[in-house]
This record gives sequence, C-alpha cells and structure tokens, in this order.
Amino acid sequence: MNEAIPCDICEDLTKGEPRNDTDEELTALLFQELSLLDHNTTVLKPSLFPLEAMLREHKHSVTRKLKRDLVLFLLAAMSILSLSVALLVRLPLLFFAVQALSVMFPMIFLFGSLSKRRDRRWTK
Amino acid sequence: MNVNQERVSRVDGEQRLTERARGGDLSALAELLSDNYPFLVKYLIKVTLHPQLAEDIAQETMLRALEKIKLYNERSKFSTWLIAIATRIFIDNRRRSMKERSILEEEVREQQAGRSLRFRLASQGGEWSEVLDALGQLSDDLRLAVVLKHYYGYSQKEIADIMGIPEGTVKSRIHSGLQALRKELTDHDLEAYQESPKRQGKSLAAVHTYE
Repeated sequence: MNEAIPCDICEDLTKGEPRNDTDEELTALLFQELSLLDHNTTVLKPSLFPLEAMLREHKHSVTRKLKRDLVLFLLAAMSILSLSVALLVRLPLLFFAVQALSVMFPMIFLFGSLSKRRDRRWTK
Repeated sequence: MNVNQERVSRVDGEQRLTERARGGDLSALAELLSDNYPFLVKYLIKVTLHPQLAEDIAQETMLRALEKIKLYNERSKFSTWLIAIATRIFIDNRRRSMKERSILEEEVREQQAGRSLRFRLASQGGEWSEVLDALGQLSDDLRLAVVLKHYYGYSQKEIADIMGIPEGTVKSRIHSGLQALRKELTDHDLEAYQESPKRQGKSLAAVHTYE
C-alpha cells in the first residue's frame, strides 16, 4: 500500500497487470486529482484524552451488553432445560421451582442495575 | 536522523503500540487511532465524497476497532486494517440506507454531499474538477475498487480482502470503473484537461507536497 505516492511508484505496484496507454493517462489524471483533493482537505488528529475516554466508555457499555446477553441466554437455556427435565421425570414441582427462579433472577438483576444507576445519579 | 531511520523508528513505534493495544491498553489504542485518524478520514472522503459521512464512519470505525483489536494479526499495516473495517461499515450503511430511503431521496442526498465537498474544497483554496465529478457518478462499488487500486496502490487480492469479495469481481469492477470514467471524460477532453496550464501548475504543487 502507498499513501499518496507519485504515479511512477504506483505503476511499479501494478506490475503484471496489463494496461493500455489511455488507461495510464486516465489513472495518472485520477491520481493527480485525488492527490489535490487530499492536499486540500485538512483533517486534525483528535486529542488523546477525550478519545481514550470515549473508548473506555464504549468498552464499558460493550461489556455490560455482553453480560446482559449472557444472562438472558442462560435464563432461556434454563427454562428450556427445566421444561424438558420436568417432562422427562414428571416432576411438576421442579418445573415450577426453576420457572420461579428464572422469573425472579432477571427481576433481581434489573432492580440491582436500576438502583445502581439511581445511586450514581444521586452521587453526581 | 535520515528519512529511512525515521521510517523504521515510526514502524517500530507503531508495532509496539499495536502489541500494547492488543494486550488491552486503551491509551496505546487511542494513540494508534489518533495517529491514523486523518489518513482514515481522507480515505473515506475520497470514497464517499461526503465529508460529514466520512467523519461519522471514521468514528464508528474507531469503536469497531476497539471491539476487534484482539483479532488484528499484524499481517497488514494498522492503517490497512482500519481501511478494511471502514469499507465494510460504509458498504453496510449504504445497503441499509438504500433499503430505508427511496432512490430519489438518495439522489438528493448525494447532490447535497457533492455540494458540501465542493464548498469545503473551495474554502481551502482548491478546485472541484471534472474528474472528481466523473468519479462521483460511479456507483460506490466501482468507486471503491478504483480508488483503492489507482490511488492507494493495493493489489487486487488486497482489495478483495478489504471489500470481502472474490478477486475476479475486483478485477471486473476496476475495469468497469475505468471504462465508465473514460466514457465521462472523452479522449478529447482528457487531453485538453491535462494540457491546461492551470492544471499543470496545480499538479506540480500537489507532487511537491508529497515529496
């Protein structure tokens, strides 16, 4: 790869691929115009501190989302397994116990995360 | 320190930063992304011809890079890896927006984007050319392939990896792209365009800045 290199180097990079004269003229012109566009476009580097803060925030939200998805997946798996076990061993009590657990667990989880958020808001 | 030594130390520095970033060091990743940000945005401006969209995709690319940094295998340069992520995001966004909006809305949006880039270029003392106009007429797929090949000098295999398509498709897209460009700028116009003194002066200025 080359970053805004002159056309003669560009031609070296495309060795072995047949091109005719008109193509070369056209690609040279294209290269020249895109170089001008590049040259006339000013893009500043972002400051490191806010960028790092943004990355940290995003990493935190991705981890949180992953945890939530994992919990939901495990709950769905538990419900399916409890149903199959209850059907297999004919134990309605076990079925209801696991069902109750799988309903209570997300409620506790949600309540916990909501109260944490509320605490954070108050402390701010 | 001569140019070669400077280049080697820059590559070493980038390699060290990459290793730290892969190990979960966010400040190293932030430094890497900040260094590559102007290059990434300039690439996206050439491909989208829409400065605002280019910046949006660049920001999304940085977040995606954070999620995927552990998958980066250092086989290509970090900037190439970023370009690959940005290209996929651009293609996905384009597909989604084509589904959501009508063709007419899409055309209006493209015209507005072109105007915005023209204004930006004019305000920096540059000039919008017929070649850029012709490039803007190409479909995104053709423009991507042509820019990656004839401006950045990637091989067909590298472009295939970046765009996630077979090598043969890349070859045909580059060919069709050049053919469409040639159709827009007829042979006569092309020669007249190249011979114009204003253009020649500008091209020299551009080459000097990259030497």
